[in-house]
Amino acid sequence: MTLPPLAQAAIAAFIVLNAVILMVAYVTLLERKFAARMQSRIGPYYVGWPHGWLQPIADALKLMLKEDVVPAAADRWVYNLAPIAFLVPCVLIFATIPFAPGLGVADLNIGILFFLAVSALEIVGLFMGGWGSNNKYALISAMRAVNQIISYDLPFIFTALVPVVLAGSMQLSEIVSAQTGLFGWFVFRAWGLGVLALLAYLVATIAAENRVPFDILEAESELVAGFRVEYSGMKFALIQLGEYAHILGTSFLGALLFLGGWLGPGPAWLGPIWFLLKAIFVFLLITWVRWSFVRIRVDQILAISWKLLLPLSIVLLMAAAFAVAWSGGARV
Amino acid sequence: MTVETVGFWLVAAVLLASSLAVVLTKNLFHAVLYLAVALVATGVVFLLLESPFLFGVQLLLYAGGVVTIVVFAIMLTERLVGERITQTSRHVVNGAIVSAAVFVAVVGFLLQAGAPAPVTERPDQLAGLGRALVGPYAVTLELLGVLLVAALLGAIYFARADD
Amino acid sequence: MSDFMGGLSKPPEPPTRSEPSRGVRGRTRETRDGPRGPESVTGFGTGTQRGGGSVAVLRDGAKGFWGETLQLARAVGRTMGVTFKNLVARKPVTVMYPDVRRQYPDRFRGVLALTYDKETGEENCIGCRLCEYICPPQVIKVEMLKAKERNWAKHFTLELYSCEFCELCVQVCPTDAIVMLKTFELATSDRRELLLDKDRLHALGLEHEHSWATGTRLRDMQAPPKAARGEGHRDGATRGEAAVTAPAAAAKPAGTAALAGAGSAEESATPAPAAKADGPSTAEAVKTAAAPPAAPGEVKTKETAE
Repeated sequence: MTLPPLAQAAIAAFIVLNAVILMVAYVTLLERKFAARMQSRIGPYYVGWPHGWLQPIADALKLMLKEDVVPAAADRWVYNLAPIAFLVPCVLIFATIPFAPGLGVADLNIGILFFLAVSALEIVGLFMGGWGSNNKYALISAMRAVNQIISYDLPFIFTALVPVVLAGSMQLSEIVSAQTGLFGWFVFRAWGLGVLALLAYLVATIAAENRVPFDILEAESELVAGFRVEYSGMKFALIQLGEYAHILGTSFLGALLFLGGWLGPGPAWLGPIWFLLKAIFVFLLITWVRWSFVRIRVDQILAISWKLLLPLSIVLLMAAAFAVAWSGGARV
Repeated sequence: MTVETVGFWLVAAVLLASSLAVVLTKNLFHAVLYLAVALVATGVVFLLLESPFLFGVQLLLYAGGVVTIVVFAIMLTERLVGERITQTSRHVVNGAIVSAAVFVAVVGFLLQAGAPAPVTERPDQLAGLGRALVGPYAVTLELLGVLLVAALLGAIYFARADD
Repeated sequence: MSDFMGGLSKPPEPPTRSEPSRGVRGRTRETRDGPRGPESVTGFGTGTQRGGGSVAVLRDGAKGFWGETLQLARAVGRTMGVTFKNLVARKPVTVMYPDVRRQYPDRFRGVLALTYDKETGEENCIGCRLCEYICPPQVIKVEMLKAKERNWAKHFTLELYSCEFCELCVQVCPTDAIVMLKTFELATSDRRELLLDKDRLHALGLEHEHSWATGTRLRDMQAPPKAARGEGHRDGATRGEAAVTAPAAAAKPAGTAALAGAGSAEESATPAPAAKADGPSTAEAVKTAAAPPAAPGEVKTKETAE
């Protein structure tokens, strides 16, 4: 039985969406466990045996049962739509990620551009929340977010373009297939360019996701919870879901761009598992950074972006282009 | 009526409504949000016209970049407490006349142009686009770059500290 | 290069003090030993250096762009090394609290309680209201009941929900009637349940383990050392003996008997002033052991006289 292509795409999207939500839930558990061990703690333990594996479900249930508070002076429509406007781009970025050859919603030929474009939309939902709450903390947070997004989107895009130049394609599956062979991943390639690009990508990723040490927009000590300070219950859960979906999405993208995606030893059906492991590796790198550093100041964040990361990413991109040009299209 | 046609009309309706809302709504922040909707809808129109690259660029530059900067400007100028800046939309009649004239011109152009060429399956527009940018249009591209550099220098000149 | 970049990276100064502050900064730069940029390329150096003290990782002396970048890289490496060591090499120190309880320290300041005399079963509180007077958040209310032999507390209420657990009431209590317990489990569904009356406070005292501190012990601890006080009366060994025998001699050592366990023999044996009235032998023992803890002024005068 063959279905029309639209129905096929819908089914694929449904499956991926649910898988993403499930993964996001368990990624939070993973992060909590990881963070706990870094601080010589145990982490979630009691809900579900062993080691609290039911904790994400319990959290979701708790958030669903919470009272949904809308501030009296809030801009009601904007306030209520903000979590959705925030969540949709964050989940949409998974649409173009291939989990194995031919396994994914849509392997667009502008894959990476789609990813970058859609994740740039996330900021709209963010400042809808910040504005609509009619709360000074939320508004300050939204302003800081805009500041930071302007600063860190460019390095993020430039570093993500390094593998594109090396592979000669924007299609994510093409980028992966350009990384075959022993030490073929882009981290190991191009005379150290790849490693630098991966490091810059990670820093830009952390900043674009507003995580510690770049989390001035939700700095707990000054802004309580930033733009989501007024949100509770399911809306808060949606924002949280969106945030972790974004982190997971960039982890998957990092694994695709630099770590060879589903390539790995063993039979072909192991591919998605390799991919998942690599994505989790990238996620844990980001988490490791998060639990190692303290929050840095606004001017330091801007200085790092404009004086260190942006020049570095431009230089890396140009170096990659020169390397490709000199080698005359051969592998570098 | 194919799926594409239905999609087009839906997007067109959204685009028209949000564009009107941009100029008619009183609340400045709401106007920006409608602008974001309009820009995303324009991107979807590009997608329906089988031009995903333009879709991506539209989202990245306009919905992501331009809207962000507009919001930044509003947040910096808006008084955070007290009365808010409202959009007054003076000269509504003049604006309506100008836009009607533009609409007539565009429709006339479309009617004269005749039936559009059937959409063919093009393998990859990206490589062609890249070649065009560094080939025949290289000078234009470089000139644009010079323009942007000039704009940046001007911005730095105006923003410099008073010594 | 460092200066150029550093100049850009410095945080925006408030416009009012732009000129003078620039001058000050220039001077401090000259006085520091060794040439270094006023601020770092990355902006990291600014905040940490201003105090003048050197930070272990980001210290003075990084020169130029590459120097600072190298320093930054090393700092990042060290930081992440610490967390990584925690992750793989160290075991969690978590105590699984409701299932496992750790040993609370002897000076634990937990829930308050009233004590009974162990032998007679009478309550120790004499309703003197000292605790009421000293209590900073004013959560204690006492009403005295006058009687022939001794006084009693007619009412004793304690608003535990406002208590700040400063232990001052324990310190001033002349009869060691109020103590703290080695428990902190106050969770309740009704705030009013934390308004404790006399019966509830007594029940709590029977229910939980007492902390070491009592009024007598605390005052004893804060008084001058015993060697100085006991000088001229007896030497150390016999003084210790006398102290140990003191409670046996005393008919009613009202203060300390209710306390279980902790504390050295010498300290726990120091009787409360209430015991003084019991007979000449007890009074002697008290005098030889130490000055009555309730009267620190007396101790001082004795010392100064010597």
